[in-house]
Amino acid sequence: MHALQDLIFVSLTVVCFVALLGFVRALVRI
Amino acid sequence: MKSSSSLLATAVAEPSSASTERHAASGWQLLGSSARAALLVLLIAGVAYPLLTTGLAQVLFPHAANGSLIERDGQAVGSALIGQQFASDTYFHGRPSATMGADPAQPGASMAVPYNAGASGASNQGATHQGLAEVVAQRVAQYRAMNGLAEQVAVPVDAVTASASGLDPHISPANAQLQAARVAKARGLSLDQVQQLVQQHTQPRTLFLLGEPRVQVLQLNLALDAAAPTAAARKE
Amino acid sequence: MWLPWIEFAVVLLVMALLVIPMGQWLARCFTSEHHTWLERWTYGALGVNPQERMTWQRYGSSLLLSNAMMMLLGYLVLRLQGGLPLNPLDIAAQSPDLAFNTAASFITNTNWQAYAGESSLSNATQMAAITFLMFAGATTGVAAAAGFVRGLARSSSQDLGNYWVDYVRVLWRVLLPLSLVVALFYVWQGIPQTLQADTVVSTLEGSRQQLMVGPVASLESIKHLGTNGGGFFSMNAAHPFENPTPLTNVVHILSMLLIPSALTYAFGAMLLRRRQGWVLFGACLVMFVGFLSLVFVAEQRGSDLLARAGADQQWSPLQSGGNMEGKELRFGIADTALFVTTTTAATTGSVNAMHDSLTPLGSITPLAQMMLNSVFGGDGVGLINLIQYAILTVFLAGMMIGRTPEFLGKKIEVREIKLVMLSVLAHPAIMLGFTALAVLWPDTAASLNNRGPHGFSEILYAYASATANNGSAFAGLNANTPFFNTTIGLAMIAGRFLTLLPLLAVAGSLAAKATVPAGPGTFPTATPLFMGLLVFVVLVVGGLTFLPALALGPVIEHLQMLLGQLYA
Repeated sequence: MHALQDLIFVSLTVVCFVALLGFVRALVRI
Repeated sequence: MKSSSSLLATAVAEPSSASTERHAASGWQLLGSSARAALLVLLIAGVAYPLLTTGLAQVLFPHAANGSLIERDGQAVGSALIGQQFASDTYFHGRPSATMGADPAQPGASMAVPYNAGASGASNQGATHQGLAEVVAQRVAQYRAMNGLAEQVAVPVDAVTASASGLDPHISPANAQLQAARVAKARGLSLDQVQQLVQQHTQPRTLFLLGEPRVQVLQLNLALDAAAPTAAARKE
Repeated sequence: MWLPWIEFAVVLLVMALLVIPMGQWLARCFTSEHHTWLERWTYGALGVNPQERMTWQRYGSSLLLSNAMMMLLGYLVLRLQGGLPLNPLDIAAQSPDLAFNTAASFITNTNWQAYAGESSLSNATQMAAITFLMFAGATTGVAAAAGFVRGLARSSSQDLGNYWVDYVRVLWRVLLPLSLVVALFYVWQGIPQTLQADTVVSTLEGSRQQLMVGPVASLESIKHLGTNGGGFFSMNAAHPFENPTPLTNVVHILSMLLIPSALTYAFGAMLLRRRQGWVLFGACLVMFVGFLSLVFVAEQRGSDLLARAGADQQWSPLQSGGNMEGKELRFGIADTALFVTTTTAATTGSVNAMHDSLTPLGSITPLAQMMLNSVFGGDGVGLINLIQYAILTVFLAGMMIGRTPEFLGKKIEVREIKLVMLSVLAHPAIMLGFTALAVLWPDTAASLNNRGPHGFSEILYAYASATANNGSAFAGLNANTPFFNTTIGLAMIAGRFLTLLPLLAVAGSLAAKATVPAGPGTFPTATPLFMGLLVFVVLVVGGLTFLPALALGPVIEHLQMLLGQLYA
């Protein structure tokens, strides 16, 4: 079942950084 | 002659327009550069640098680089930096150690294995921990009994507390002095002789300021074995 | 008994003396127009143009993307441990949640370790994952500081510099060379550096002792120079193989403080405001000495629990006395106190003693410094956090005297304050939010090593450490559970980037402004008065935010210790 967990955590990592990139965009508008 | 500070100022200021370029690289190129950067830093910092350091270390300081091992009669008996368990009354005892290890009787379970260098450990217990209060009281009683101290005499704190690594190779001079009488009696040496050996293996503070005066237990016990081998050792 | 104070003074003096050459070197790295051939080769290999000028958004995005790739690569290496060479003891790979936590931890310069190094990592991963990410994360922090300071120095400009240039320069000109030299010094003092995994010896009493070894020194140097903190061994810098002598101990301490303190000077040099740099340095030093005194006096006074059990904690020429539970003898109380203060001030997180066994008042020093996150702070981000507080101080002072606040010749306006407050509030929100969640989570109690208020402190400490990207722990807490691994991982990422990115935006915003010449109404910020105000603001803002949590933990525990209250 490690394959599924790997997928979860890699996706979590990607989501975090994509969110942070979005955060950078949002900061421009403050 | 421009001073260094105004040179710095011009360097920090906006560079000349000739070298200014708006970023032409796209987001995908940025991603590509990032991936390459990751790989490059791994190879440089994670492979080349440690390997280079290892090569230099093995050539320049081989004894230290491989663990500062101490040998006796051609066999490695320990490291000069790592403590060991001593329980016999013919040896000086080190500090209590809270390391754990696998329990041979019950696979999967762990038990107390003092000075287990395969798994450094400590109690991590604080000032309101009941377990700590009990175990320290026990150690105090044992120390008094073993070394012929009267009831109610306070015992040096390093003798009854576990070290942070569980592998502490030192004890305090105070601790060593209180054990000297027992060891002298067990080995048939005079107290003076034992105290002299302790003195020889007591390291003072580094540069008069750093660290604490300390007694290296393993080296002291090795010296004891050399000076006055026990009956069992002589039979071998 | 004055000897420890003399030792402290000498060590801090040496640190101060190193600030100047190191600060000048850093300033030169950040401003020089000359690229070495090695660096030009690196830019080619990365496919980047060193002439490209970046806005703060571009700078921040480059930082984020490179960190993301490095974290993913680290995760990959950790998960593939079983298939990599240099694994003679056949240690299995970390589980996915633990690998996520470890990779997040090391790329954010936290180095929180929910694993024991010597038993769960092979030498290959200690090098290719841990040492790699230590460099990666530390270099990011220093590079970010370069961009940030450049932004403060420029006017009417969008240009913060080039992230790749800053990154590559810090790597080649600062961290790699220093780490190599310091590593060789460490080997000379006894720290192992070999590709072997273990050596077995036969002890004097006839038992078998398995000594774990490996490429320790090369990790150890970047661990402290990069304010990383992750140990090769479980017991970190308390382990004799990571910290064999008082001399290595003091070099660890100086290494940790080197770049954070030197950056205050580099900042002053780059802005041609040297006195401002010294004011920042002074503010950090004042707080440092205060916290050092607290932990030293508390630990030397000792633990009432030990006294009641019959231990002699009195200082004498023959023993250091004090609370020696969870401490190493060669460091005693003084060297331990100095290390404890340094490692949590510089948000490194390595330990030469078990913080979980510190006396309650002594434990306030590491906790408070992590919460404040600006007593020198970590590589790069420490300076950035300190300037964040300086802007806040200028703002508060400006409100009190009724003028538009100005800092470093730029007006501080609504946008800057909003961004600063975002960063200031993100820190406690993450820390306290996750702590609250963990306290309510059903399985948490099973992870605690101490009960009662000290148990609460263990959890609070974990999230404080994660958010501040410190990485030390009250190691009694069993944090290797999916809940803790995931939440602590998220706290580390959030703590790092949600505080860094708004401040990069501030730098960009200030860079775009025109410089206002100093007038009679300008509030001078390069004075002892400002230094005092800055310390005051840091302590008050920090104190108000965290005092309730500290009260529930260490303060109550101290009162209970005095009463002899014990918890099973």
